[in-house]
Amino acid sequence: DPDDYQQLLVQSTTLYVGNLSFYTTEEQIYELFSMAGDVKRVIMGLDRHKKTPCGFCFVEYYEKSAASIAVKYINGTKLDGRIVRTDWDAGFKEGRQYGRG
Amino acid sequence: WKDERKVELSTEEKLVSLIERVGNDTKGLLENTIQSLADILIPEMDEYKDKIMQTIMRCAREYSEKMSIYSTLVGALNMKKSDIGEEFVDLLIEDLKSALTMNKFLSVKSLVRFLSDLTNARVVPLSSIVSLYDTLITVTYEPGISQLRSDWYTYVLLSSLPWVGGELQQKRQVELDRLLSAIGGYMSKRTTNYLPALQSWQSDRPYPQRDQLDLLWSQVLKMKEEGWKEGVLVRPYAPLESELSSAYGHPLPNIIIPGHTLDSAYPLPSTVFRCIGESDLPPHVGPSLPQSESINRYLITDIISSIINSHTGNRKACAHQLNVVIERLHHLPVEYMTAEVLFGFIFTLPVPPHSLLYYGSLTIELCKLRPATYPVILTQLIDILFSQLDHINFVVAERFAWWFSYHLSNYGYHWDWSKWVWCLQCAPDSPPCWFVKQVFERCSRLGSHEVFSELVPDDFKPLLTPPNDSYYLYAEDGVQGFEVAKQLVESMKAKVPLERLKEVLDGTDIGNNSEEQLLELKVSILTHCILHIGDKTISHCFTALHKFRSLLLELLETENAKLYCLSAVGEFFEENTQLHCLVIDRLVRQELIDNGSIIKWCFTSSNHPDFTSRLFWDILRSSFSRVNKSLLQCEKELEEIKEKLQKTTGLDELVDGTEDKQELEWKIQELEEKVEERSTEQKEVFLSTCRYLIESLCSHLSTCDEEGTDYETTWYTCITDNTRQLLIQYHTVYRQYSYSLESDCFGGGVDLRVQEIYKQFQGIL
Repeated sequence: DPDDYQQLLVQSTTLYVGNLSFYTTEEQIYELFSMAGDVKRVIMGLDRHKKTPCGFCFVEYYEKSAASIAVKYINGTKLDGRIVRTDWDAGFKEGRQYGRG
Repeated sequence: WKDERKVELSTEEKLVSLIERVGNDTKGLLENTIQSLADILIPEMDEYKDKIMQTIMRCAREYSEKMSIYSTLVGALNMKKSDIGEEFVDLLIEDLKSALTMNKFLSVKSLVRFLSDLTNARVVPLSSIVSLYDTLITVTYEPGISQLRSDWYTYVLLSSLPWVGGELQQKRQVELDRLLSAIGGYMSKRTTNYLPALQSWQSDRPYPQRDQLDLLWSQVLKMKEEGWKEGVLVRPYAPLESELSSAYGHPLPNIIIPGHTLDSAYPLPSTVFRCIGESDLPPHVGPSLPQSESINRYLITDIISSIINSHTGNRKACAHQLNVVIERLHHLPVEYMTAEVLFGFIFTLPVPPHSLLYYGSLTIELCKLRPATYPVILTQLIDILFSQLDHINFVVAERFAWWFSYHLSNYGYHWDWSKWVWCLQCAPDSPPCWFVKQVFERCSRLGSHEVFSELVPDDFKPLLTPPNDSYYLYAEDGVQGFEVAKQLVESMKAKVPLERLKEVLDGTDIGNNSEEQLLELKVSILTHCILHIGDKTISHCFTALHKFRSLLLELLETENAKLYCLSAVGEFFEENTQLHCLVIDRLVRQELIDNGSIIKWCFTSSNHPDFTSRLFWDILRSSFSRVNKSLLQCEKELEEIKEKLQKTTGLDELVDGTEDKQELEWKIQELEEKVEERSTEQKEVFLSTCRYLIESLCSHLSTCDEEGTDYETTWYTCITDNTRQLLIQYHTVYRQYSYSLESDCFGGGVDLRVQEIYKQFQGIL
């Protein structure tokens, strides 16, 4: 239901972060995204078969205001030499960490 | 298909866009453009009046550099239809009243300024503005009020004067003189003993950093001396004067300034950050920098600041708007001043008005928009700041390190370190070395340690922090507890049930030693083993903490046990400050450790972190922020439920079908207890930290006095600066406990040099 999805987005404290380098580590992501506020967890996107990082992750914050700072100011800046993209996400569910690689 | 659906702007959207863009195009005479726009708007007023007026008001606020264009527009509308002018003034007055009651101080400032400028466009009579100013200055006569209150209203008045000073001088000289002498009287009464607590530098180098209000007063006096002339503002109403004068002016009603309440959180005083002077500008470039006491310096700085403050939602639009100003005022070095203002924001004490990431990402946008000049200017300012680190405030130096490493991370860590090679001759704990170490640490975390360290020249390599590493105490035989730890790790890996793990841990034997020593060893073994199991990534570590939480919880009953756990975490992550901090935070959030224990551990443990390290202050700061947030959260919940209950008064039946009155009352009681508990925790954490810091400072001072050595060491300055910053950042909390603060922390026996910190803190409030 698109309305439910909208509702989830409004309440969300989770971001989808894309265009990462395959070599960027969770530690680096914590370092950058903690500048916006306390990070609750980071879920690395993994290649479905090789189970190695494949260029995206989810970042969940404790507070909505922190997530909103990250969306506004981290989106379009660089991490590890790549311009990262941040978007609101309706919330992580098991299985979504597997990308196409 | 797409072409058929080509989006047509509605009339309303077209009007909004016309208003927003007026004056952006430099072709043709500005006053003619404004008059044509008024001609377009008049016939649309019947249908779109509200939207048109709201847009003009919003634009005057957001594009403060174009404010006089909007004043003239209102003047032109008023000239054609006097009732429009009247309605517009009514709207502004409504806005002003609500901004005053709701303590929206920045809006008060911009509304008073706009109303003042409307006298130039002959929409508001000059006599009305004189009465408004009289009302503002009356606040300074109120007995027994906080200086913050009288300062703010004086500031609002002074910051509007550049727009109307000339008019007043010509037509209302007596009133103007009376007003200025009242302000002068107030200015001579004020105290500014708090200045050292808010300045970025503890000296007048590179440039004096004055109190904001004090400086503005000097600038206004200088403007008066020079016949109220300035060289920054666009004043399109001037050429239209004779036409505008024919219009009818609308007198303002009397404005009443609401009295002081506990909720009026007036802006704290501030200082004006300066890091450039005329000699810093390349000699061949034409424009010259307005002197510090020139009103032009104030006006440009204020325009830049307003643009930055009103575009926090969109950094690209902000950079674009700044660029417009840089290009429009090309006869002045606005680009340099923009960089100076941005550093001023980043360095604001006690805390910057917005997220540091905003200022950091905005700087990157400006570099993109002006690639030929802005990066060069930044480099020059970075060098100036670096050369003055010796007397910089430590909190400011840390922000500088933060910004600089963030900026470098966006430009491939490209920096010519060799020009800073002189700092390697300084003492290892000297501010320049300390700064480079901080930058290196942050850069190796943001990039990877391996990649970054290769970019660092060899002679700077000693300042690199070692790569993140962990230290598992029970790795080798011979350590007491080795066998139990080994078995515990194996069992954890084999995923045996928690009860079985507990049995393994309970098998710890230390012969005849005391129960307490046994507890200490068990906590150490368990903590080390959990961290060892999760020693792969941050997520692995958090998963392990989550999985074995109940085992830890059972052991961590006493404060001592919590201190043992914190010490074990400190041992394990001695060379990984990032995880050290994150794990401590996680332990609190999992309710295994409380914030009070963390403070105690920070100050009393034998392996506490170095007081000048970033880690130490990071741990303290996050404890303060957690304690504060959780109390605020509880208070908010309580407030909400109380409101809910109030709505149900008189009804015994179920409220919105889920809860009845009784249930809500229980909840309230529960939350009230929680609030009580949290505020006790807050008081304890805030005051004990203060006590520990003061004790440390005093004992340092007495040692130095006995030994006859200089007490102003890096260590001393670092603690003083950070203590002051914490006090001021949390001034609303500390003010509640001022009695305890005075008697328990800064009491009579405390060294006078330390008591000075408290005096400065009090001076601010």
